[in-house]
This record gives sequence, C-alpha cells and structure tokens, in this order.
Amino acid sequence: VTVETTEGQRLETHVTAARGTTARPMSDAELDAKFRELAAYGAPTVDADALLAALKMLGEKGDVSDVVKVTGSS
Amino acid sequence: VSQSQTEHRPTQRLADFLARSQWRDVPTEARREAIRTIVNFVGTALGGCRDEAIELALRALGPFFGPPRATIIGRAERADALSAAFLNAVSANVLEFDDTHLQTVIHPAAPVVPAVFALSELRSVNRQELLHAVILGVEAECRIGKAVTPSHYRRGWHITATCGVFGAAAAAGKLLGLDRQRTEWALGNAAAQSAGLIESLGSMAKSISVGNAARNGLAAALLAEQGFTGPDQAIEGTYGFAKVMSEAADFNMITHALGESWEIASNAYKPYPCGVVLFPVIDGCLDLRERHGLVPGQIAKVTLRGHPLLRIRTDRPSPKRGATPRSAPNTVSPSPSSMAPPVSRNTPMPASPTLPSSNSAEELRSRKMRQSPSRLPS
Repeated sequence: VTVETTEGQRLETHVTAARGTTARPMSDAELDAKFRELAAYGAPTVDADALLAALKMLGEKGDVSDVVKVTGSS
Repeated sequence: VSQSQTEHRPTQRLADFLARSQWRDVPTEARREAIRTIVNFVGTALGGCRDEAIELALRALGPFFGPPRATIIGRAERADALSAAFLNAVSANVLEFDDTHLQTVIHPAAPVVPAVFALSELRSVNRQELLHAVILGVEAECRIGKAVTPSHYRRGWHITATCGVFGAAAAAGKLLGLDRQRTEWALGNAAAQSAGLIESLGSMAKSISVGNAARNGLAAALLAEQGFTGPDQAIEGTYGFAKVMSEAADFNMITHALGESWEIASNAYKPYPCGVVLFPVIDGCLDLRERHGLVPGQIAKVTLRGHPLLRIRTDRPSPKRGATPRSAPNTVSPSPSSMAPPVSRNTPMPASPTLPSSNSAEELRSRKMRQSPSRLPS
C-alpha cells in the first residue's frame, strides 16, 4: 500500500501475512472484541460478557442447555 | 477390513472414525480451536440475527414452524430444531464475517454448529459432547472438501453448503451416538441433499443453501437414527457426491491421518467482513494511518500492489446491486461495497475497515449512499 499525501509525502507499507490467516491468527483478545462488537451491533439485549464466559467453559464438564439457551434474547 | 479395502471405501472409513472417536483422543489444540470457532460463530450469528434475510425467512417460514423448542440466536422467538438450525446458519454467514478453512475456503462453523446447538436442546447433552461433535463435524466437511478441491468449487458448487451438510450430519450423528452403519447412512442422507451454487452468492439465495446445510444435515442424522438407509458409497460411488460433483477427487484426503491431524486446528477467523484477498490491503491502510496519524483530507492518492485477484474481485468503481455479488467466488467479497459504510442502520458495522479515504473511495461511498441499499454491505 502506497499513500501519497497532499503535501507530496510518499508513505509505504508491505503486508506479507494478513491478520486473520493461519500465519497471523486473530488472538483470543481480538476474537473476544469481535464477539462483543457484533453482539452490540445485532443483539444488544444479549448479555455478551456472560455468554462469552459460558462459551469458554464448553470444554469443561456440565450440561450444555444453559449455554445454548443464553444465546437467545429475552 | 484391510488397508486396501478401506482405501476404496472412504465413506465407510470416515463413518467408522466418527462413530469410534472418543473425547479423550482429541488433542488440546483442537479443543481450544473449537472453542474459538464457536465464539466466532455465536458472535457472527448475533451480529447477523436481524439481517433482512433473517426477517424475511421468519416471515415466510415462521407460520410452518413446529414446537418452539430451540433457540434462535440473538432473538426472543424460538423455533423447532430444524428451523432454528436453518436460521442460525443464515445469521452466522450473512455478514461475511465467518471462520474460514483456507485450504478449501469452507466456512466450517455455519453449517455444523447450528445443527449441534439445536439438537442439544432436544436431548441431554454435556458440554464436552457438544464440543466433540463440532470438532468431528468440521473434520468431516473439511476432509470431504479437500477431496474435491479445487474442481468442485471451480464448477460452481458453493462448498460451504455442499460439504457443510456432511459436517452437520456427522456432528449431529455423533451427538445421537450413531454406530458406524447409521453414521454411514447419515452421510449418505447428507449426500442426497448436497446443494448450493456459487451463482447465488450476492443474493439471499446463498443463505438458503447454507441454512439448508445445517438443517438438512441434522435431518440426515435424525433419519439415520431411525434406520433411514443411505447408499453404501455416498461419496466415492460411481454416482456418488465426489464423482458427480467434482472432476478428480482425491479420497486420500478423507482417510489420511484420520484422528492424527485435525482440520479445526487450521481454522481462521475474519478480522474484517470481506474476502480474504482484501485483508492485507486493509491491514496496510490501518498500519499507515496508525503510524503517520493520517486523516482523510491529507490523502491525495492510494496505490495498491498485490495479487491479481485483488483487481479481479475488487476493482469495481460502480457495483450494481443484484448484478454484483455481495460475496464473490473464492471467499473474496466484492470489496467496494465492503469498504462502504453500512447505510441501512444507524450503528456502524463493527470492525469494518476504516480506510484512509481517497477521492475515489469517497465517491464510492456517496454513490452507495445514494443507492440506499436496504442491505448491509457484505
């Protein structure tokens, strides 16, 4: 990407590995931020933080119905 | 069964693996990535759950819903499990913010996770069983996808839908505890419903095949559970999925290192709601803005150098709605529209690329505004 400014400056950058590919994966924090933004955008009544915490417990023992149900909106 | 026999029976070999797989055999990295896959899935479904495609589907199909036993993600309405699976797959895929299995360009979660979620509300399922089922569903769809890549997609099959139905069937079948024979039938029942055309990308019809992949995959497994039979060689048979829907299938992709390497471990997640070919461009623009504190008025010209696909897919100064895909073949979305701000809502699209705007981008933006599209840019 080369940007030329109105003052005649030439700014350049070269990206060899894009974000969101296996070479430069989204971090957990980035994925969490994406989750919160999308939740706020499409389903603002859903408690995004509680849901995110519940989803991260999916590898643990315990019933799943409480997790799936809270993906809905009240 | 000898090695040489299994080589010729990839469907049976895959079914056998799915039926036998144990949670303790799944390595930590696959489990970890499965959680990330589900987090990304639920996020994208929450973001998309009020898209016009969902509203229209609810209006058209809602009157036919069965007992409301399953959750529609992000919404107060409930639906029968099959319909919920359909709607949740549509929500997850409609914003083009999916996960991507880069080798096949399958968006793995959209067909698989909704089938598993819906089924978990009908049967008693624990969290590890759910995660295990998702991992196996992704394994099945991506391996089958690899076997028919690249000719399958090149012919115009929308691989997320065509292979996703196998993933949904495999995942649901695992949750139902199907034995090898019934798992094979579930895969066969899935093969009989494999559909989805690249031509439909850019229209709401794409959502039908993605939604159906989840819905029909779940149905395929529920049918198999009852003894509803499928063909013996659903994938490799003379008139099976791979033979009919691709040119040169490599069945080794289905069977090689099964249980040793895990497809979900290489799942990737979109940081921007557009095709992957644009990611480095957006990264670069954001990087320059960050480093030099650029504001739009300072920018005289932007020049991009990159893969030829970048021009083919994105150099469209005046995209027409309907004629220009919202998402073009090969995971590459039509970028001008994806760079334009959403105009159908008051809130900005999350994480949408904020590009230092050149004159042409500004023009594009105002053109988009004038067109007043009722849909979000993909």
